[in-house]
Amino acid sequence: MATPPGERLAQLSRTATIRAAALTRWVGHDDLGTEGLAAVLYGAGGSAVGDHMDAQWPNLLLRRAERGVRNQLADYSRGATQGWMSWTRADADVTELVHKVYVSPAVSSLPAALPTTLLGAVRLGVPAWKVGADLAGIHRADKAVLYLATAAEADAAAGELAEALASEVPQGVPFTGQVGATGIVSRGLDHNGTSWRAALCHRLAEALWSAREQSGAHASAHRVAEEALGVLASDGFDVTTWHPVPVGATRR
Amino acid sequence: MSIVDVEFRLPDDVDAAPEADGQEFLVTRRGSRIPPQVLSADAWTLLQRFRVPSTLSAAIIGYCREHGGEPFTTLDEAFPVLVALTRSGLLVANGTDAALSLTPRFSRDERVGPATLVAPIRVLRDGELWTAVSDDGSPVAVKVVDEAISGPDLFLRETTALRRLVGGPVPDLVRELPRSTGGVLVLSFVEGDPVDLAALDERGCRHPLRALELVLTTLDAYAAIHALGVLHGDVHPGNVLVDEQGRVTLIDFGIADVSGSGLAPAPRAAGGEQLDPQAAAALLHGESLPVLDVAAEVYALATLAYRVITGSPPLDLELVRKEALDAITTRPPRMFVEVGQPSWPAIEAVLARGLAKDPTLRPTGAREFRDALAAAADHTPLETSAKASGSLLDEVDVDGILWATADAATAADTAADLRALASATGDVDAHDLAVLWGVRACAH
Repeated sequence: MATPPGERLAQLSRTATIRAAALTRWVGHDDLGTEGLAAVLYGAGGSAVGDHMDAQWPNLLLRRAERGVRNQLADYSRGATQGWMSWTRADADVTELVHKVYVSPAVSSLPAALPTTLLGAVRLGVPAWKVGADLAGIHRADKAVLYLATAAEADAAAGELAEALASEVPQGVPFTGQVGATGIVSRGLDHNGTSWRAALCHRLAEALWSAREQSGAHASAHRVAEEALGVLASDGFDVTTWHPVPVGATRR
Repeated sequence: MSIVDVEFRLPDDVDAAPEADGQEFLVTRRGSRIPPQVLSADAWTLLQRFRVPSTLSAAIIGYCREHGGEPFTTLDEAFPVLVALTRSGLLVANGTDAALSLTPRFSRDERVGPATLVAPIRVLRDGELWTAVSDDGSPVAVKVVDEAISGPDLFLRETTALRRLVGGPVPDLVRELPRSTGGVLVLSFVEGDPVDLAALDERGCRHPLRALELVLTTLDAYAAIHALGVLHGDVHPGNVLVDEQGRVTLIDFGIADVSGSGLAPAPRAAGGEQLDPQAAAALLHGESLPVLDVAAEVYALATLAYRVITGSPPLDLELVRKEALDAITTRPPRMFVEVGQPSWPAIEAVLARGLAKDPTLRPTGAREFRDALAAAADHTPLETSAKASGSLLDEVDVDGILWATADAATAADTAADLRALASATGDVDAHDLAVLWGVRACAH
């Protein structure tokens, strides 16, 4: 499955969907369930921790990235939770920060990409962001997430970051809307405290199981995937670009 | 007033984060030097009853009323945990200073001596550290020592040591402003990474030879301060900063021993992996800690060297305190292969001398220790065999024959091969396919 140039994240999302569809041929719903299949979809695009990678490396990456903007972070509080390091501006109302910008460099690009990301976040006045702070965190696809209050602000920030990071190697977050040429930056959303991407993966898992049941055990993974994507499209999801659609625009 | 009558409270600046399994919580107090405490979900639920000041008995009764359980039994089970929480400052007597939330002593743009504050680096209950700019425009650090009992001594030791070490591998002391609870030091700004992190390359891997080079530079710095009559007394990676050029600067001299200064013997840290066997033995026997000497500092430097080279401490001290102290006094350092590093017998032998339980068997000082390590560096680490890897991906994707035909054993083998390939290469496709084959193997 070669990745064509252009909409890289759309291709990653499609590939993940087809692979999940293939899994439904071999694994029963009773064994994996909707939650399990959704987890496979949600975790797609991650990478494995290298054999000799030091557990302290994320700490060093964050220290160095923070160093470049230390004086501009005086208005932010830093917190650490469950493998994440987060920065939140003192005046931010976190309940309003539902528009997300994902920044997903390949692990090998983190030493250069992380300082650029933090510099960009500070310069753009992003009210809050979080970055994976352990080895598992920096290997997941959604390793850095910026939170903004409006879609317009998030689109603008994503555009600028995509340009600033255009020369870095992307990893890319499946099931998010690509911004820029490489897929290193993409858009997402939170709704009612839940990640849009997580909700989408859950709905897609439901649709895949349903499509498998209707199509039969011997239907090809491509066919099952197409049927499931068709269901999501009829629900109102954008299964071409995977950009989040306005709240209320989907049926599920 | 007995403990039964004391109202305790959970300070507002205590935060908790659930562990991945949701069964335990990591509880920490902002600005506290005490490491985060791991509590069971039940203990955290009970602790939260103290957000509103409460006696122990009232909290237990309320907890049992809400969650079930017999109050006396619950109190029996919870009492040791609650006592431990009072010792770690997470549960404090209501109305005391300890119950107050931490607020910064200074604010941005405030003048402190010849410096204007820019941004806090850290704010603790007993001090602060800020980035600042001096009147001539150069970056400086402003360190605030603010602790009524130990603060004045910490401040005096640090300033005395830094004056003794002017021009050495330490920050310049630009200004000192003593206060009744310590004082404020304006220092030249030191930019750098902790020495154990500085040993990592751009891929996050530790290279023994580069790490050893940093250890030798660090020991040069310690030999220099020892030659001027100063023992650091606080040897750990965070106090050894390495800049981009590989220069080492030693920081934090608040518990240093400065010979001939007229200061009393330095206070000793009573824990941590740098604790030497003589101090550990004293703690085990309830005796006062021995005075800091060169042998104890060499032991601490050997633990530092071990950590920089391997990324791990020489002893596994994830134990209850008495067992940890026992381990320090009796157990030999772990071999490098035991901590996942290639064997390096020549260096391990020198480190073992530095970590000798008998202080007379250790190198006589930082210089001798450094030279012994440098001599041993001629013998390079023994290479481990490189992992074989090849591109399996075309064959194992869901369009391939293998996916259509594999049985459970094949699926499991394929998943294992892909996991190895994913770890060796960082390849995203290998990762995703490893997950897929792993799920399939489990379901067969």
